[in-house]
Amino acid sequence: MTSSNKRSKKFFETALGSFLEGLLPILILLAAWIIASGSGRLNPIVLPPPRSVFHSFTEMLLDGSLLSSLGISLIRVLKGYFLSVVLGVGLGIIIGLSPHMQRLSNLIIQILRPIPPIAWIPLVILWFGIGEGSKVFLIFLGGFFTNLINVIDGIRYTDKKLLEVASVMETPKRKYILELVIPAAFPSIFTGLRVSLGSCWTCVVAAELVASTSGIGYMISNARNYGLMDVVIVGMLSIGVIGKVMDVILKAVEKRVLSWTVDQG
Amino acid sequence: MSGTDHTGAFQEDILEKNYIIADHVSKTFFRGEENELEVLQEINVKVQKGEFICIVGGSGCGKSTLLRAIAGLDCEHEGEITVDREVVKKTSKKRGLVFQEHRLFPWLSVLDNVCFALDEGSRAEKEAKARQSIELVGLAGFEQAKPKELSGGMAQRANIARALVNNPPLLLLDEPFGALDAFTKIQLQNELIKIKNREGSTMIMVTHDIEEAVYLADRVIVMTNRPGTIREIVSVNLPRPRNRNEYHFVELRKRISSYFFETPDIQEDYNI
Repeated sequence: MTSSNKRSKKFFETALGSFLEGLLPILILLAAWIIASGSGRLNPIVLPPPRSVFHSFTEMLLDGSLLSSLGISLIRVLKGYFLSVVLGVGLGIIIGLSPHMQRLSNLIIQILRPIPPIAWIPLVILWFGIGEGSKVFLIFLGGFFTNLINVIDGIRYTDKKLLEVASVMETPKRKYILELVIPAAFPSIFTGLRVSLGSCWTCVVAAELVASTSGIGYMISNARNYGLMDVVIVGMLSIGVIGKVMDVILKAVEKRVLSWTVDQG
Repeated sequence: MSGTDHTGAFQEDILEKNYIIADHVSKTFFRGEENELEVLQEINVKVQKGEFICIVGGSGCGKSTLLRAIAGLDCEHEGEITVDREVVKKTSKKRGLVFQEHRLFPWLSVLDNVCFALDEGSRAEKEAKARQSIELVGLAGFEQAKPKELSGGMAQRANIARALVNNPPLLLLDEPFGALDAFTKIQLQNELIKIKNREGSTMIMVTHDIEEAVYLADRVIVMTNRPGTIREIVSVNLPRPRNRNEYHFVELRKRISSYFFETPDIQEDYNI
């Protein structure tokens, strides 16, 4: 790109500019919150002022309770996510490659998929007890179907034109699957990996509602019992920020792995 | 010379003349009940070993269907196609096919795309063969490029390199230069002739470009539309390299054009 071209680019289209523009609505909301709390007409029990939220945040950060809660939750999420990736991608490849498996599994997937992980809680407690297993299983459920379906679709909708090329070359079956079908499905598989990480992380609060005594979800429900809305808000925002950070990391990995796709510069 | 030698040579000669035989090939597409579309009707043609055949016809005349049938991609038709004494029932490495779109695997480099066609030998052997093929199509220096970094002409060269790497005795080309600009097209036509001379392969190319057909082919198969039948087979007995503006060339081009555009051309005589 020439330098004149770069200069003619508007400020908000640069990396820094677009980040700042994205920050703008957050700053406006924060300002509105500060002003509304300052006016004294807001009940601090319903919505605590930013000051006290910030105060709780620094306090919990300094005594280490926030990070340890987040760390515990993060490990649970990673365990559940890992399972959902291994099983989702593995089963997805098997189902995607076989029309028989597709017919056998399609209906059952369509029925199980809309059930939210929260609805599983009673059964999960019976099956796994109230230990780590039940939490990991709920988080696994949150990501499993997204991974499964993206892998199946990615394989099923491989460009038929590319498959024809392999057919003309008489490509052996093993090579056909490992070096053509699966790489061709990569963009779809990766979308699944990204979306499912988000869903797993979203499920952590639901999972920690199961008789938990640790983790960020427990921190939130415990604070609720004591009416500590500032702690609740700190927990909510931490979940949001971590979720965003995880997505940024996966996006960067995706960009490296999928540098061959046409739509990425 | 003994008698057996004579028969042997004679048989060889017959086999060479009947390298490809399409025998009563017809194909009908069914779209629901009573909605049939006859794409190919009674195609009978023989191709000699080492010949360059171009098939011309309007879009939808079944020329690509015929090519796919020869390749073995599309075997649900009546009649029989024989290539080198073998009835075509499936695809084969011995029949390379160059598609109109480059169809390179976007995640592989040019070198890896060409290597993909090879199933035997060590990685080093494959790479050596692939490099040879890439050089043959004039793409040396772009081995590591990804398909999205290539221009249309370069991608088509890579596509041809991939089809050539197995040294197929028969190369089928489905409008390979259809989407290229005029300059690139002429350049690649000349390269194709060079490759053919060097490898001695038989080539069948489907095209809608009459000039291209007359420039490249030993014989041009002219097809009619719906149902696709062979209208005429025109022999192009012009010396090579051919001159596109030479009288006989233009005459042949006009003759083939007249099958598609019924208007008699008279303007030539009235030009001042």
